[in-house]
Order: sequence, then C-alpha cells, then structure tokens
Amino acid sequence: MDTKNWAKQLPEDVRGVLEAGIQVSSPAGAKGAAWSALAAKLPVVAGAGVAASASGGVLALLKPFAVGLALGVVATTTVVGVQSFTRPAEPTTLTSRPKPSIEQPVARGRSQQPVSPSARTPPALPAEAPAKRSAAAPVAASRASASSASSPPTTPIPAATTFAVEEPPSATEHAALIETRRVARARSLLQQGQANAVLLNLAELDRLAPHGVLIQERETLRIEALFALGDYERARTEARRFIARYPQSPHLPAVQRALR
Amino acid sequence: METPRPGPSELEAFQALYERHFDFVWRTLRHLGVREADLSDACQEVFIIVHRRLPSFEERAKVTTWLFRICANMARDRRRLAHVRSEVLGDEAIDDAVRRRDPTTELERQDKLAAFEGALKSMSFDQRAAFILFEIEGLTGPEAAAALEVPLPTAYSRLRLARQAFLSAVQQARSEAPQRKARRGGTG
Repeated sequence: MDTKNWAKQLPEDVRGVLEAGIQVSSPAGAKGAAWSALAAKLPVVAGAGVAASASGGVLALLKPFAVGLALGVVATTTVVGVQSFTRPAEPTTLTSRPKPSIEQPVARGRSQQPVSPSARTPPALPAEAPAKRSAAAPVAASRASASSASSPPTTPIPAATTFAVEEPPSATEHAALIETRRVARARSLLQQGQANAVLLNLAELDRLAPHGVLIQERETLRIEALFALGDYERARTEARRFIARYPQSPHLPAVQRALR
Repeated sequence: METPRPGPSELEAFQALYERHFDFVWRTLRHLGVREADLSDACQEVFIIVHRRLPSFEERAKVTTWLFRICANMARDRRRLAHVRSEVLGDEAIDDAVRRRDPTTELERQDKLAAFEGALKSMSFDQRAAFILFEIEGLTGPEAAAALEVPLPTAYSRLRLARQAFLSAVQQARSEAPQRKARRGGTG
C-alpha cells in the first residue's frame, strides 16, 4: 500500500484541507496552563515547577536531554505563575533521524527528529519528537516557520458557520468581538466549573488583546478561576493587585471574595 | 527486574516528554473528537497517566505510539460518556482571524479546517485513528499498527477506508463551498 505518496497525489485543494488538519496545534498558553494544573495534581511536578522557576525554567531541566531542542519563552503572565514555560520550535531545529523503511513517509516533513540523547537519557525519555508530517515539503517549511517561537502558533479553527459574517469586520472590530466573546465564554466556563479552561481562554486573550476594553472583567474572571481551582495564594495576590490598580472598580465585590 | 527510579531523572524525563509531546497529545485528542472545552482537562489526564506509567515505559517502544494509545483510550472513554465533540466553537476562528488580520485568508483556512473536521467525522473511530497516525502524524505502517494494536493488514485496511471517506467528504464539502460563499456574500 502506498503510504508515502497518497497525500502528494491529492488535488491541491484537497491537500490544502489535509494541511489544515496537520497544522492544528495547541493554542499559546495551553501548555503552560496545563502544566500549572498538573502541578496541582502531581506533587512531584509542583515541586519541579517551583524549582524550574528558580533556575531559569523548564529549559534548565531539559538541557541534558533535549539536545537540539530550541525553546522560546512564551509569556504566560499570571496564568502560569509558578514557573515560566517554554515552547519548542520543533521542526526547524531538530535533526533528521534516518530510518530506512519503505513505509517511512520521508517526503512528508516528518523527518525532523531530535538526536537521541544517548548516554544521559533516562530510561523513559522519548527517543523522538512528535513532529507533524506535512503533505508537501513547501508546506512543511511554512509550518516550521509558523512553529518558531516568535510566530503565533496555528490555532484550531472550527467550522465556517461560526464566522459567517456579511462583510469582513475591521481588525479593531475583530479585536473587540473576540474580547467580548472570549470574556463571555470564560464566564460561561466558570459557571460550568471549568476553571482551567477559563485560565486558558484568558491567557490566549491576554496574548491577542493585551490592551482590551474588558481588562477589569478579565482580571476578575482570572481571580475567580484561580479561587475555584483552590489556588488561593495566587488568587489573593492577583486580587490585591487588582484592588490597588482599580480601587473604584465595579468588580470589587467579586474580587474581594478571594481575600476572605 | 528494574526498579522504577523516582526522583530527578524520572521527573526530568517527564518534563522532557511533556515539552516535546504536549502538542502531539493536544492535536491527537482534538482529532479524535475531544471537545475544545475539554482538551485541557483531557491533556492533563493523559499526562497524569503518562507520569504514572513512565517507569514502566519500554525504551524500545516509540513514545508517540505509546502516547497515542493513551490518547485513544481517553478519547474513546469520553465518547462513551457522550462527550463527543458535537459542536464547533467560534473563538479560535476569531482569534486566528485577529492574529492574521486577513479575514479573507482566514475564512479560506476556516473552510478547509471545517472540511477536514467534517471528513474526520465521516469516519469510524478506528478509521479516524488510522488516518491520524498515517496522514497527520506520518507514522509508518508497523508503527501505526502497533499504536492501533492491530495486525498490519488491518491497519492498512482502515487507512484505505479512511482515505476513501476523507476524499468523499472533502469533495462533498467542495461542492457545497460555492453555496456557502454565496450565503456569506463573499467574493470569488
């Protein structure tokens, strides 16, 4: 069975559809937020998070193992808190691992594999990176570029119907729309008890619209989410900061709950 | 019998694995039908399992194969609990539109991803898993078969059916695209 050339033989527009799926990746902030949440569930990880923060982040701990792994610091601001998290610029910096197999889709941009860290590799260390394949080399190159630390990650895009507008709104309108929707969504998620998802949404929003018009509401939601997660210390820290910054805010009652 | 090694090396291995494979886990869960709102929780659950099983991970196994099995079980369990992704969420679409500042391009991209996800939905879970491993992650036949825990011919059979379903669904989406554009009032 031809596993190598099927995608290459697809019509260009069909291949484009496949590429859209290939290029799905986690939104910025997701990795850090999930790690932060993991730290709350796994005590050993929590300890590592603090230690990593003190010694320069996860990168410091990965040095002996992640050979060739270039990490770009992604700001996670208050969402991650306990440690900075880093994001690998996967395909461009990973070296090829020759694997003579007729099944290996060599031309699919999946040849990016990290060098196995040999002697210093702990027993359970993964020997390869999950570099996504690409249906065509040029797209692989573009994805490599898109994965660099300085570029925004490819974000999953759902169906078109959700974006069916009569006329494309301006960038400013987009920003206002996204902020309004995100905040409403975060509020809804909070009510559903999905505090982690709230933090994720807010982190993404911080990155997309750092100077939005609903900043106070966003901060309030973040404090409430932290509180809901049981991260009282961070909730209080954020709450004190909020009160100092917005002493007349209409959101003060909600914020002050975190201080009780 | 090797004793699991707790402590720094194991933790470092876990962190390295997390750093390298988080996107893989995220993408796999998403393609396997876990809802956007549940992805973060599902990822955490996967990595909790990974953390627990890491000491028993066999070095000769491919880590993505191992991870995929965990993801597939997770996704399958969530489907059983009716947490199947049945809706699409608009936030990311809008986010990306803002990021790119090019609504036309974004709409095209959005259409493609919608077609892609529609095609995945047209497949059975097993076909979808095979398609993801072969066409999205680029695994070899033996690797994919190992991840799917089926004989190689079965893996290929699922892939063949998945490809047919993919092509059929995308072609149908393409045929409907002009109508969508017309409704949208877009150009071209």
